[in-house]
Amino acid sequence: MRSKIWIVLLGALTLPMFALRVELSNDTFATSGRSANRNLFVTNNSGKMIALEVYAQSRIVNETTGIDELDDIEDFLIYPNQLLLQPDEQQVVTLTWVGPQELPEERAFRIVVEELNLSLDEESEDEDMTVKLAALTKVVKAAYVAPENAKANVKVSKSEVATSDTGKKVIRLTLKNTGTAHKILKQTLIKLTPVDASGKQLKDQSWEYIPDELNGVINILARSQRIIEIEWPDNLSASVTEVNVTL
Amino acid sequence: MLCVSVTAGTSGKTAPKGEVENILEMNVVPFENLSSVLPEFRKYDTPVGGVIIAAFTVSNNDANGFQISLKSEQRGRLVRFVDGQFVSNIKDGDYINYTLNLERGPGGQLGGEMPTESERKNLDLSNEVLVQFDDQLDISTIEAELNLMLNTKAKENLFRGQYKDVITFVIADL
Repeated sequence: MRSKIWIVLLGALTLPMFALRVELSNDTFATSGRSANRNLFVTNNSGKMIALEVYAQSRIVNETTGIDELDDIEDFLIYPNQLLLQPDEQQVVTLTWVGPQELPEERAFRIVVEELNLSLDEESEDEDMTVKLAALTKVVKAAYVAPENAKANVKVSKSEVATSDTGKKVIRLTLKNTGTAHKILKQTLIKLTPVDASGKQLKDQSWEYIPDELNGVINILARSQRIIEIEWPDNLSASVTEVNVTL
Repeated sequence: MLCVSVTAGTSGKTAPKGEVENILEMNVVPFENLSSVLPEFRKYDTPVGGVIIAAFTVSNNDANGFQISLKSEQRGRLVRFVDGQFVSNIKDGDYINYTLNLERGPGGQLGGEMPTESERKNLDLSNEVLVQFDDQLDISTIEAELNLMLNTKAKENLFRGQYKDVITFVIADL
């Protein structure tokens, strides 16, 4: 009975829509020349007017959590950086790199298109209890500024037997990108070789597989590293204290 | 009978080349006014699986997938809203905590699988939460419909008034 009440009540709710579509002509900028400019196409697919702000942030990926660490920057000229889009209107935003002309390696950024909240000052309704949930949208694009011939070079720089925060035995991998461009690893196959007490690699016992933790996507920015803990494989003896892992 | 003879008179090689722009799109349909549901919030827990509070669609044609973050202005609480602003000194009767579940809706095409339940259920918005959609993508995601379900525990000691939160839906490529 109670579930029927919920269904009836939900039918009475209002359904405004907020739709934001963002297309970037190319996610990699050059430091100079025509390719230092890129177009961002921003479309309001909703039935109401929306106010937007466009800005850029520098991006570092935390090596253990994988979460972006962002900082506001002024290395891009963004025009216009504030938009008021009518329903179904599209506007082109031009982004121009105005940062250093010489870069030793690729730099990573986020281009953010954020809806501004214009509705908070509504009058409170004169009812016993009311609940309102407002929704804002934000579209975040990856962008890179790269020197010519930037290239990634990712290797396993360290593999160790470790204990996770939850007390489980795991293999902790350090994936290091010594190259000058980012690399997106996807469904990464590794070769695991147990090492005996004398330090000898037991190559006849090695095998290749994709650990669950590397089944998704890992973005390793230029000259950075990521540390990934992978579950102890079922077919690896618990007595093993050292492993060698390669890509 | 019609016979058509076509003679090609060109020579050399062609190198067809085309770029597809990287698209990232999010359409949010929030059920803004939950007023009629609130009396139930005061008396009862939400039903198992939660109450739908927003439907949204995402489109993304990046082969590496995308991630969705949810950020609550009031850190996972519906907070009493007085004279155009949230109450500044929040007492126990001024808020009700909630968690969210992210569910696949019926519409559109999702490029891969939904994240595991532990990654998308009972999401606590006291901090920004991140849900990754990056596994084994075979195709682009086109207007994939996702539903956001809200869970609360009954809280009878709430003050009367308007309760509100602002959720920011963030879609990002990788």
